[in-house]
Amino acid sequence: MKNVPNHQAQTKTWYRKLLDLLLQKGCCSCSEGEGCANQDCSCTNGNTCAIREWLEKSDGAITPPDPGQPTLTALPAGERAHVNQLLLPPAQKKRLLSLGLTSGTEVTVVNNENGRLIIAVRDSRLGLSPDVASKITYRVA
Amino acid sequence: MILALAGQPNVGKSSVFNTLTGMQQHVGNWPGKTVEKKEGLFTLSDGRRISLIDLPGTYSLTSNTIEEIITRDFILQTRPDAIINVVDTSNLERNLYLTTELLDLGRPVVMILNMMDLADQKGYSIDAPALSEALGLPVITAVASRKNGLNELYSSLDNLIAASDKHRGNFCFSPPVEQVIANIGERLQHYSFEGHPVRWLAIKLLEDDAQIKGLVAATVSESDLAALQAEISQHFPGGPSSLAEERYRWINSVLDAAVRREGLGKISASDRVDLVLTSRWLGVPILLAVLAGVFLLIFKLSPPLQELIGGLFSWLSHLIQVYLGPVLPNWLVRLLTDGVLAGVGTAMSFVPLILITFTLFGLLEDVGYFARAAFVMDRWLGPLGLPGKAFISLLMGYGCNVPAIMAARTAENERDRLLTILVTPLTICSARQVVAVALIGAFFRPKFAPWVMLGLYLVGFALICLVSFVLKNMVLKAERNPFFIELPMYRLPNLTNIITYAWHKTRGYLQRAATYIAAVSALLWVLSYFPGGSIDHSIIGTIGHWIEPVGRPFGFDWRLLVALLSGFAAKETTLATLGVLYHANESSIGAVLTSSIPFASGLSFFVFSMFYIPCLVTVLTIRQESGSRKWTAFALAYTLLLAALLSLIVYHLALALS
Ligand SMILES: Nc1nc2c(ncn2[C@@H]2O[C@H](COP(=O)(O)OP(=O)(O)OP(=O)(O)O)[C@@H](O)[C@H]2O)c(=O)[nH]1
Ligand SMILES: [Mg+2]
Repeated sequence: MKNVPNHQAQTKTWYRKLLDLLLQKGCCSCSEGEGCANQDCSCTNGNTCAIREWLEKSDGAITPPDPGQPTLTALPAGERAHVNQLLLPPAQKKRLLSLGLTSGTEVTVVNNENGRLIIAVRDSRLGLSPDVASKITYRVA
Repeated sequence: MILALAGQPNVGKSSVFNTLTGMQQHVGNWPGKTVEKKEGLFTLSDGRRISLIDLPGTYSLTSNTIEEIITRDFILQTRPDAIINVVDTSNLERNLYLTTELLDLGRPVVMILNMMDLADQKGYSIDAPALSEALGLPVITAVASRKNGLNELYSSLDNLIAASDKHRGNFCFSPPVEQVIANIGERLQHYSFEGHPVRWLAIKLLEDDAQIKGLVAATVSESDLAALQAEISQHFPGGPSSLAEERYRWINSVLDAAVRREGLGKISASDRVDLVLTSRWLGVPILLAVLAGVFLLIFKLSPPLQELIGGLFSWLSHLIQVYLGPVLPNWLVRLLTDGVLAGVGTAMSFVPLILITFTLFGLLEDVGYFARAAFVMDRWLGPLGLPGKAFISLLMGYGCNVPAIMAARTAENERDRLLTILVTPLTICSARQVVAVALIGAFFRPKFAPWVMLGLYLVGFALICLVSFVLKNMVLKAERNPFFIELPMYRLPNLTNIITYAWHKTRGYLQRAATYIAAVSALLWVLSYFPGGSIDHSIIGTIGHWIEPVGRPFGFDWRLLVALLSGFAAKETTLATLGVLYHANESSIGAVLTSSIPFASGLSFFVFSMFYIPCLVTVLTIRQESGSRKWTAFALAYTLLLAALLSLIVYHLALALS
């Protein structure tokens, strides 16, 4: 059997590959450190740093929260609502999107035990822990 | 000719695979059973050989989890002649999401509308021809668990494959997005990306897929990359989520054309069951009661059968003595009876226990309880740093650690997965359960036996909690991922599946008993008889006296040490070894152990054998799944240390108290 691809390691390898490319082209020193892409970089070649930023975007930023919006946690069992935003890291957000929690989707709360929810989305049931439910905002139907 | 079975988790892919190929892939009712692709062969009526690949179920084809990477890499690299997309018709809307992603890959697709029975039950009415028309794909309706519709599939496969070049589906994004995709495709066209379709690459770039972004960035020229970024940021304001929305918009238009769904989003009977089974106050007590019930049943049902099989082996060895005794030399007869038959018989007598364990767990699994158990336990596992999904691995671990560790692949990230892999070996697998039952029978009065067993499971679970808590705070400090899980509808169990599954597992055990354990028993007997003719003057006796000091702090004599060593290859061998070394057979082993091992030593041995290093196959699995020698060594070291510590404590406590 082949070795299991270690996902994180694999993305690293891509980065590594690119990093090598960048270094060859004599990019700034920022390519080694972390969290330097934004500022403090004496980069001579703006383009290459832009690439790094672009590459790292998908794993970094979380959509900024929108404090005015109520989250699913607040909905009692039996209630319906329309999903508004998913305030989760991109990887999880994508996952929930593919499970059908796109903006505007109607969900029905089947059970709400202290923020731990079972919801009916499209035609399936999802169990959400409080840390997920509290990051999904809704609009009333 | 290669066909790939793809679909979301728990839709019946493996059921279809098993029917077509006659193989026995694991089937059950929770998402994520198949984690590694599996190949099977079958022949079409015209004699053509088809190689069919059962792929792991995935909700989408991003590069987030291992199964998704396996699935998409397989399709991209092997380029199967057609993809058979199995969908759960009672869950069509979400299932078609993956279909849209499969269509992006540019291979011909044939759809199996599986679970038609459940769709009927749910009140869906499906116009298959209209659906086929709307999708632009051929569809076949089926109930794979009852093998309905698979004959049609089989007989129409030739036609489907012959015409498969047409089946590319009707799916497309909205015109502005398609324009962006076309523009990106234009730029990518001049490069080669390991033969990946350009349209797919463009879509993945828009979806912000880390792997593909890396690939593109490392391949295209700098000016092209800049142009791509500009294209995306200027003409694609919606971001990745707009693509998901568009996919669902297309899906809904398809459904509107061909499917009537009554009672969508209504609370169903299955939901009402969940209101009780996952409720805050009842969820965990019910889970505990279910598990206690399962173990109680196991221990109630298996002893009578155990005795029956034990009796059979006593009779066999009696036969050998009577009929072969006069013919063969004495040592050979004893090798057969005291060596091979004693060892194999001891292992064999526990076959019912293994069979019953896997049947009952298979039942829980098939009804759909596993996903609920994970959901309920998440609340308690959370503070320990374990994701709720880890509980499915742990539950499976009580059957066998190997598939349990593989099941950790469904974890959301590497950290959760590693933690799950590391703690799973602390579950008492069925082979260890065999050893436990024998030892408890030997050292405790029958009245206490069930309580000791219960205590063992509780201690095991407490250790899991402890270890993951320590790991969470010391080594794997990253936050665990927020937890969510699909809860499949409860279903009536499919008895054929469960029995096939349990039998499959039991057969593995039988095979080990007949080959490996027979060989080890024979070897041990020879080593313990020659050259002196008695165990004290044998090779193993001499070696034993050498290593004896190692066991002294724990109260082990050398026989127990040898038993532990032999148990590393397969845990049930521990018992066969004890049988040979103490000259006991399956029916006398309890009494012999009681009389020849002091209670304190016995107890200490019991504890040690439950928690010391996992068996060889498990270790290899840990190595493969963690992909790291360091973590494998860590798992070995910590379990050994833990077992040593516990048995040291138990031994001295028992000595002090008695
Ligand atoms: N009622 C009903 N149950 C089915 C049907 N087909 C499969 N099942 C059951 O559905 C469950 C899942 O089937 P599997 O074949 O294991 O599904 P899978 O797609 O291989 O699942 P993963 O490997 O987890 O992705 C099992 O309990 C099957 O017995 C069907 O047509 N009707
Ligand atoms: Mg499967």
